[in-house]
Amino acid sequence: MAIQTFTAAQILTAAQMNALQANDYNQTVSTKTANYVLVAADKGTRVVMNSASATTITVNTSLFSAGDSLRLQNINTGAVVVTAGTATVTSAGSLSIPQWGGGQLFFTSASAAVYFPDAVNVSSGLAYISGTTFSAASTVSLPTNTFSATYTNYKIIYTVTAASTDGTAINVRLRASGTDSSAASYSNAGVTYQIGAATIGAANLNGGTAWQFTQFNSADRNKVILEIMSPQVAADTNFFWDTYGRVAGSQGGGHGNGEFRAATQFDSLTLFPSAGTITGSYQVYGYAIA
Amino acid sequence: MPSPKLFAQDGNEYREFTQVEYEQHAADLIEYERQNAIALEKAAARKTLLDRLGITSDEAALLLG
Repeated sequence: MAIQTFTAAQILTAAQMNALQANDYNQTVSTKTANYVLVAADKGTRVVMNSASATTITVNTSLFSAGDSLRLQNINTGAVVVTAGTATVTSAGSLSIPQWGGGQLFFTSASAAVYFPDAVNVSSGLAYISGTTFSAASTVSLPTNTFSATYTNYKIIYTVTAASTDGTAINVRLRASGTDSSAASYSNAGVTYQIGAATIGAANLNGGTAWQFTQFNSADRNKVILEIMSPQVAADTNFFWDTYGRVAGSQGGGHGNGEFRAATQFDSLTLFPSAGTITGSYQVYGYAIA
Repeated sequence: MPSPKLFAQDGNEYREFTQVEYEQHAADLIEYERQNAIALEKAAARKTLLDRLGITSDEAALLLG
């Protein structure tokens, strides 16, 4: 029931009282199937949009007062846009209401409203899969089935805070069902650089038994970022690497790419220094397919 | 002197290497040392050549432009 205006000496009926009370506990709903322009009687009620096509809810001035509010909802596939007609409408979020979305329209004056969209879980393009810390480990393997059909491509970020041996190469092997592959199918290429030196080097490997590029620095923090492409697909696996640590005795890093040239499907990988142990942490993310 | 134990961070488990992993590690170390030897050999040959030419590595880089 829309809000009522009672006058002096008017009799408030039981039906009116029940209807007004009901709105507090089971809000009055008006369902719209096409573009809609709000009217004064919508105050305190719930406007539900139900259209498979895109629609709008238009907000005009001089219909509501400061402090008035109403609920807006969308129950169909067509997006609903809260539109400023003659009134202004502001929001910290989107004015577009997706299916099963909604929010509160709150008036700060007769000519200005704020739309407060209800929080929803927005699907992210990059989804966290797993991560952990490791200490004094000679090898660091991601959990079995980290790579799955859920994602095609992955990003892994390692922070190595301590390496027991300075200047040992960074190695990566792909892994399936708990076993690293040491097939001679790993190749990578890239550039390396040293801080304070003009020389740019190379990190090239062809037909190795692990990807190998730059080195761990025992005196400083190391970063290793890997982008693994299609490890679960029965085709070559490509990867891109970015590192910061040690290069030929100096602080430095590099960038590059590479491949595992065989149609093997992998569910994990192992990072390891050529000698000694490493301590640090990693996080694995999957790139959303859609 | 017995070889030190090696440990793997396998997912969330920290465990000692398996026999297969010890064997792979030993093979990797041999390969690592072979690569190091080649790198040292190259560095020594380069230094010998620079000494013979009487130029620094920066000057050599300048020549190769």
